[in-house]
This record gives sequence, C-alpha cells and structure tokens, in this order.
Amino acid sequence: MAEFEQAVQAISRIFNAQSVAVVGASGDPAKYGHMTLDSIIRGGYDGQIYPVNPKGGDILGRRVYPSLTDIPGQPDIVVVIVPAKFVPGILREAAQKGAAGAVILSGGFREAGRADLEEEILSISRKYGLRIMGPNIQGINYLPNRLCAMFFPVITVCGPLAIISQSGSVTAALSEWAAEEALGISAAVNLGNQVDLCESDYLEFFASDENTRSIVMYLEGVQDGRRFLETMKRTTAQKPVVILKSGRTLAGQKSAASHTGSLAGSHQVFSAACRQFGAVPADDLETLYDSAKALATMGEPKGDRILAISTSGGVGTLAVDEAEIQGLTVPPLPEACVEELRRLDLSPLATLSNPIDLAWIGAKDFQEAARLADRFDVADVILLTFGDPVAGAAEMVKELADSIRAKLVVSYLGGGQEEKLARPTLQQAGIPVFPSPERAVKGIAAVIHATKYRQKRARKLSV
Amino acid sequence: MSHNGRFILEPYAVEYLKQYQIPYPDHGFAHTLEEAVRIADRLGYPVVLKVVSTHIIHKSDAGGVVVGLKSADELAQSYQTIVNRVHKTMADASIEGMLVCQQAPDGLEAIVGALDDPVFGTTVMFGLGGIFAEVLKDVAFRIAPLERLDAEEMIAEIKGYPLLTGARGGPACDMDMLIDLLLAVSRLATEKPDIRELDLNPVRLFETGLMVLDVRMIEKTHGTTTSQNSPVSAHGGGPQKV
Repeated sequence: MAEFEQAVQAISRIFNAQSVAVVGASGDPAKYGHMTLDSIIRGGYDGQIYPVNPKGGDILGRRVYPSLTDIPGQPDIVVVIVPAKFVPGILREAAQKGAAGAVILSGGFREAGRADLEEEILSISRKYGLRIMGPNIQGINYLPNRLCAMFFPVITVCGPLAIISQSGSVTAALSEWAAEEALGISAAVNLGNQVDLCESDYLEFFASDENTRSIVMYLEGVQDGRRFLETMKRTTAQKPVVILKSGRTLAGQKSAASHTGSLAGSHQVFSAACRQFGAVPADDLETLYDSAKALATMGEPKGDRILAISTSGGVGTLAVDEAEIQGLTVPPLPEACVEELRRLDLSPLATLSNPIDLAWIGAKDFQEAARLADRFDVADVILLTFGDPVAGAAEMVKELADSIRAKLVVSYLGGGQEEKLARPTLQQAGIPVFPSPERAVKGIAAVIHATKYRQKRARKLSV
Repeated sequence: MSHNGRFILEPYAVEYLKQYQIPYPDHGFAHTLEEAVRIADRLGYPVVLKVVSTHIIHKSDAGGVVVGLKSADELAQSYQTIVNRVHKTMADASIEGMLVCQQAPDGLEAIVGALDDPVFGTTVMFGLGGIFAEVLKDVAFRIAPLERLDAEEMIAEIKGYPLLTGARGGPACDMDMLIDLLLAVSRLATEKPDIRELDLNPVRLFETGLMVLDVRMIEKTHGTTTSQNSPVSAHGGGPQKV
C-alpha cells in the first residue's frame, strides 16, 4: 500500500476511535487537561472515555485511572496533555496497550527548542506503528464520530466544511463561524508540529471523506512541496480546496543576481501553485471562510455570468463592481427581458438593468424578477441582495432556488433580525448567505474559478 | 552583490540555450579587438557589443553594453569605451572578452526566468520586460514541469497580456513560439538541476519568431541544498505550559 494510503487509513482509525484515553486529565478547571476531557464529553462522544492521571479519583463523573496500564480494555487512541518530557513514556505505554494513534496536544517540542524530544516520539511512532497527530496542537474534532478532542471550542454543528489549519486560533475561529451560522463542519484539524501526520495526509483523507464537501486550509508553510502539489491535484479533481497561506517561511534570501530571483516572492509562487493545481488561493481570513462556505453549498454554476437583484441601487452596484474586480461577467439584460420586466407589477422607480434595482422591499418582486431573468438565461448565478429586511425572504428564496436553473446566493446588508433568522434556514438548504454584497461576490468568484479549473482538467483527460 | 552560486559566463550559458533550441542572435566571443572586428565582418553590421566578465552580472549598469554599431571604427571605439567604463565603475573586474552579436530588430520585450523555489522546487516566471516586471511586478509563475496549458495560462494571466495580442496598434507576438519558449525553459531548468536560477531578459518578441537577447545563469555551488522544511510555529496551537 502506498505510504499516503496508510496515512489515510491511520487518520480514519484515529477519527473513528471507539475508545479514548485522556492522559493528563485534570480536576482543575483552569487546566487544559480538564478542558480537553470536558470537550470530549460535551462534544457528545459516546465511545469509551478513560481519563488517566496518577492522582486517580474522579473527574466530571468519570473514574480516573492512575496510568494507561491500569485501564481495562484497549484504548483506540490516546489524547495526551502532559508536559513534553513525559510524552515518550506515555507513547510507549500506549503502544503496549495496543493504541493505534496518539493525539498530542502538549507543546514544548521542536518549537521550544526540544527537537530531541520530537525525534524521540517520531522513532517511537515508527517503531510501534503508533501514528501521531500533533504535537503542539489545540486538538482535533471529527464530527461524524462526535470526537471533539480540543481544549476549545466545542463544536457540535455538523456540516460540509473540513478545516486544516496550522494555527490553533484560526482553527477555532473558522469552526466557530461555521457553527454560529448553522453551516457546520465535518472536521477541524490543528496541524501543529506535524512530526508524523502532515497537511498532505489530511488533504488526502478529506478528499475521499464523504462527510466533506469543501476543504479549507490555513498554512504557514508546507512539509513537502512536491507531494503537496500532487495531493492537491488529486484532491481538487474531487472536491474544492481553498487555501490561505501566511507569509512566514524559511525561504532563503531572495537572490539579487537575477530578476527572476528578486521577483519570486514565496507568497506569489504559492498562489500560482494553487491556481496551477486547482486550489483557490484566498487573500485573507474572511475571504477564506466565505469561499469555503460558497464552495460547500453552491454546487457548480454553468458559467461566470452574474446578475444582481437588490432592494436598493447602492447595494446592487457594490455587488456588480466587485464582480468586475473579480473578473466575472456582468451581462446586460436583453431588451426582450427588460420589456417583460416592465410588464410585471414592479415599483415605477425600479431600474431594469444589471443590477436590477427593485426599489422595493417585497419578496414577491424578487421572485418574479429572478424567475423572469432565469427564463431568459441572463446569468449563471443570481445574487439577491437585501439592503433592508425583507419579510418572508427565506421561504421565497428556498422556493425560488428549486424553480430556476441559475445558482442562487443571498447577501444582506443591514438585515437585522430578519438576517439572523433567515441565515440558518437558507444555509441548511444549500443557499449561502453573506453579510455584504462584496463578500458574496468574492465567494461566488471562488466557486466559479474552482469550477472552471475542474472542468478544464476533465476536458483535458477526456481528450 | 553576493549570490549563492557561480555565475555562468554568457557565452557558455548560450550553449545551454542552443541545446534547447532557444533562439539567440548569431554571435562570436572575441578575446581581442581584432577578433571582434573579424566576427562583426562575418555577422554583418549593425552589431551589439557586450562585455563578458565573471564579475559583471548586470552588464548595462556597468556600462558594458553598446548597441547599434555600424562599422569597424565604431566597434573599435566602443570596445575601448567599454573597457574604460568597466575599469572606472568596477576597478577589480577582469574582462574575459566581448560578445559580438548580430543586432535584432525592434519588438515588444518580455522576461522569462526560472528559479528554485524553496518549497516547490523549479519554478518558471514570465512577464513583459522593463518596467512591467521590474517596477509593476506584473509577472506570473508556474511550477515546473510545465504543460502547454500552464504556459498559455501564465501568459494570459499578466495584466499586460493585451499588448501581446496586439493592443494599442502594435503587432501581435508569435504566441506559439512564446509558449514553446516557456516549455523549453521549463525543460532546461528541470533537466539541468545544477542551474539554480536563470533569466532570459530581454526576450524580444516579433510577429514571427522571437529572440533571446541576454541570458544570465547561476549555477548551484557544491553543498547548496534546497530547503524543504516547513516552519514550526511557536504558537502551533498547543499549550505551552501543561
């Protein structure tokens, strides 16, 4: 079996563990050892949980075992939150107990100058076939198994996004955003030091994970650049990947001897590599999230034409402006379409072009205008921008989505209570909702680029 | 200016171009003025004179390039001028000789290069020449090995792309040859891993064909390795104190 296939299997075994030993569980609520145990319990894990702490006793109503050796039965995995120097010993014990994997939250390894400790746990891993996630991570969360082995946050809203992130806070932020708006995640992985399992392994896993529809990555560097590219190529043929890479790297000095050397910033080369292999590069955290959301919900539009319909001129114009910046097509409305729009009972103040400014906050106007435009095949994506609270919008939009060919996207601007209520309903129905027209258009652009790439690849292969 | 490798003298760099059928002007490598004149006679005027020195990578900056030489007299004068200028600006520079090249007609200029990216390895770059690349940084990259589609896409990606297809009244460039050039550079950089960095700058583009007017290549020094380590964040997410 190829090495990467073994890694994918290992990740699956760890994520789907039926019994977990939490080594370093603590009775002190301020300690990570307590928070992690608490997360696993509150996350709804229904497998066996074995807290381990030399003090023994009881934590959160669970019996605590003084050591790994004392626990009855075999832990599938160990979740480790003890000082780094104790970790090698714990791993050896875990291997004796037949564990398949270790999720090591503990820091204090290579990043703290203890490369030797990290070498040691790597050789234990190799010797016993005990696969390692981490060390130095906030944790991992795999929702299909309700395994939230993360000191925070506890996310239980299951959905289509898989998060792979080098930063703990970014992992937490993306998970929380997805949970807050009822979008949900399939999994969240904080990469940490990647002594064993690395970003390419996780990418490989999520590529074929049926609970995941889009993969969102936050990276500071890459373990093995060439392997990463090959993995990306394989993955993006199956599902969309969006990546934000921050600037910190170990790149050598930029060469001043050649123009090429002095122009090749690592960030530019990384973005180019993403485009070349089908991933969508994001410029900032917000766009990363918005793109992942759009990619997880929208499906594939047939082209890059966008029509904006709004309650107010300003909002629609913002959308169309952003569309042009993103290189999308903003088609004019065909004359015949405009004629028919005039015959609808729209406001006399409505502007009938692209954007269509309804100058009215009635859900029915949106529905009729969108249906009409769709009959004339004006656009591949129709963006409804509610500049003001539109009563009954959620129901209208859901109905509309089912009856038109174009993909539907919603953006509110100042939606207040209406937006809060509509958002979860619509997101669950696969219609992404954005808090501003520009964010909506950036999300749409990500989907269109990913679609174009996948179609181009498919065409090449069929030639 | 220090760099992490040995600079390959242009006459030898040109040999690599030949191997990959990359067009470079007819030329000769002269070690004396007499030799230079003989070469110019063979090539036919006008010619371009370029200094060849291990110490000079940026020839124009050192006053080491003269174009449009129409006679043996002009050639002789410029030969001496270059020697003087070089000695004035870089007293310690040794001059190995002069390249005498056939002068190419005018055309739109591009820059094509390759480098060893620390994460992804051999990477190819394309942009329009002069201020487009140097000041506006309007360049595109692709990771080697390039496929034809990659070359097409990276050309179309630059903001100045309309100039290549004949905007502003200029002629369109030979797109097929430009694509072939990018593919050839990709093959060269991939097959010759000893070359760490290369610049074809400028590449002059014509309606039919193109010509590389200058090439810079930097060889890896022994013991130079490509770093492929990812950084370890002190704040990888895990607890610092457990």
